Amino acid sequence: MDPSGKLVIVSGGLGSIGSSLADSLAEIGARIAVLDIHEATSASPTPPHPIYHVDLADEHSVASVLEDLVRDLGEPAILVNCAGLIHSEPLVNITNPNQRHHSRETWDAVLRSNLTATFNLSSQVAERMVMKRIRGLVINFSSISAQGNPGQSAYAAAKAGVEALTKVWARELGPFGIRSVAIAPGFIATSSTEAALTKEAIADLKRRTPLMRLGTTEEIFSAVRFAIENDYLTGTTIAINGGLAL
Amino acid sequence: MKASSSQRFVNLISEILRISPQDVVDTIGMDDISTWDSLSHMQLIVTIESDFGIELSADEIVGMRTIGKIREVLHSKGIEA
Ligand SMILES: NC(=O)c1ccc[n+]([C@@H]2O[C@H](COP(=O)([O-])OP(=O)(O)OC[C@H]3O[C@@H](n4cnc5c(N)ncnc54)[C@H](O)[C@@H]3O)[C@@H](O)[C@H]2O)c1
Repeated sequence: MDPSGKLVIVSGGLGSIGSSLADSLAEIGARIAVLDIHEATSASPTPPHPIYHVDLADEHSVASVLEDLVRDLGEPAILVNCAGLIHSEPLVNITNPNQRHHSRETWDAVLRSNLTATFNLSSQVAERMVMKRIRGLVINFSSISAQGNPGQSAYAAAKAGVEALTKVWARELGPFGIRSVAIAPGFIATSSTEAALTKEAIADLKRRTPLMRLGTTEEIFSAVRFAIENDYLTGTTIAINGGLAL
Repeated sequence: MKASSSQRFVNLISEILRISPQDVVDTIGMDDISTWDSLSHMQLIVTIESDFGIELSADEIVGMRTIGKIREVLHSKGIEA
């Protein structure tokens, strides 16, 4: 698909990867709509794209924000599900007497932001694409953690779920010409990675990565662009991880 | 000899819904055939579009819940089914 002139929804578009993708997609001619739960801050300044505030884990809010968005900007041809919540927590933590096993609250929060948000937005956008006969594309954000990263039960489960949804949607929506592709980044040089990992952990990851460095948001954009432009690509996950295996 | 469009229609329905050609009658609908679910309905729509070279509107897709209704829509587009 040629993205120029197409409306692209970028969820989590105020985040590190989402904001960079939104800008890069706009540079190649796409029209952008950003969805995010947060307001723009000094760390994530207001982008030059229309922003819609919504908790994507709430399906009714998603329905009403989509109505506004379509009224303002028209029908989306591409959805980039970049909203997510990176969280590390061991299943069992013997050193914490107050909470010796993974909290159910954080489990729920991580599943909501990564999996339920992706489901809510995609199901409603895909419905519009099918009914309006738009041969669109859904790009989901998984992670290398889906392979089973120790210390990330909830995040790994949510991202493995996202990869499964990508395959299901490719099969269900393929006959309508709608594609579904997942991107699974390894560790990318973003503030979210810095917030989730200690300096030592990042240094260790670099040592274990064959390419000896973190990835860049430009390298993620290049995968997103490939997914958009290759019309025979669907139901698969593109791993961008510098060769790191967990 | 090339199959007539009504023969092609019967074959297509019987193949996708896995029913015998004799069962492709107007009164049969989604509620009567277990293999005619929302997934096979989507497949049916897409196959009809590509085989007969037409594009169906959202309203038409939603309304095509019986063989008779599908035939009506095709007739309205000048296709013998
Ligand atoms: N940064 C990395 O190294 C890395 C690696 C692998 C995968 N990923 C995935 O890439 C995506 C983007 O990551 P990032 O680094 O930009 O993270 P980020 O935390 O900077 O951005 C995520 C954005 O999603 C938004 N969000 C979260 N929950 C939401 C909800 N319920 N409704 C609406 N918006 C919500 C946040 O407000 C935030 O702006 C995520 O899905 C993440 O899991 C990132």
